[in-house]
Amino acid sequence: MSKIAIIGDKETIFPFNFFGFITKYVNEGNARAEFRSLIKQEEIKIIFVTENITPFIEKDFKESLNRAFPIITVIPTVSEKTGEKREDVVKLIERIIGPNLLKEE
Amino acid sequence: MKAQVNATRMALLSHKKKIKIAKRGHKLLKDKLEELIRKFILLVKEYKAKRGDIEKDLKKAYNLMFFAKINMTRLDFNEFVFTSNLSVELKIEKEKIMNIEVPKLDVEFIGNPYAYSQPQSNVYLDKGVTKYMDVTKQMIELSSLEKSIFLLANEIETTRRRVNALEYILIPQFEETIKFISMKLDERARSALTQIMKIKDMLTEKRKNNDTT
Repeated sequence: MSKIAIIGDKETIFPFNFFGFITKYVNEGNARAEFRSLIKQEEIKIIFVTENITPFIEKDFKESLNRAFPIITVIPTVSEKTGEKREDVVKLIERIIGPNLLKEE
Repeated sequence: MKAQVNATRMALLSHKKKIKIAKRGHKLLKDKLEELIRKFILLVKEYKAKRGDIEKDLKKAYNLMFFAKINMTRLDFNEFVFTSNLSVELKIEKEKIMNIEVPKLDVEFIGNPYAYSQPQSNVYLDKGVTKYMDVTKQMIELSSLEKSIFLLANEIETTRRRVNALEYILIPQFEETIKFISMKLDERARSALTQIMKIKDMLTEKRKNNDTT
């Protein structure tokens, strides 16, 4: 059965327990290890990552982007606005079409 | 750089056929590239809108849950979260965009989302649950969209490399080879013609000499 996991700060991801998501509350120290353990589980098809922890898992994150599953998606946090706009998506868009369409007007 | 070929009529014909196919392939690939880029731009715009919506809705859902939490005891709230009989079923289908298989994800909620103690809960909780369900659906759509963007981007890069290879390497190479073969054949024809003219001159001269003697 396909499962969905969510990893990030407790404040943002806690309510997703209600929907039966696999939730991992992480901080700077254990983010990478927890993320690695999640991507190894084959039944997990989607992993949501809050944007504030992406700098700590950058390397594993980029490697996992080339795989079909799990699909890794960065979601915003509720506590703070880091202003990170999915850097790799932005770079990809700039590489493909030149101007960045994600830029705020 | 021209290819190493024998300057024969057969080679010329075969290269003319090859260049015709290459030009046709180039046109088709260029059309494909344009369409892929058009689809890519549409997906990016959709992604941008969806991401903005999620940012707003997640904040709203969180605020509703926050109000629900402060109007309940910690124990009741935790009980509500961890004893939920609601689960999500992820449906993974495949969709084709320009012959590229992209995942189409959908989610179905199984169970009653509002099956919790009514006296211990409050109106914010009901609204919060509804909002979180909505956000979850949007997040799944965002995942599907993001994966499609990545897959389409890979295909665009591959197609662009092929178009460039045809446009700047293969077609010019064929053109140069055809030019080389044509020049060689013309040269050979000219040489043969000169030889014939020379022989004819020599024969005429010889005939003249014979006539005079």
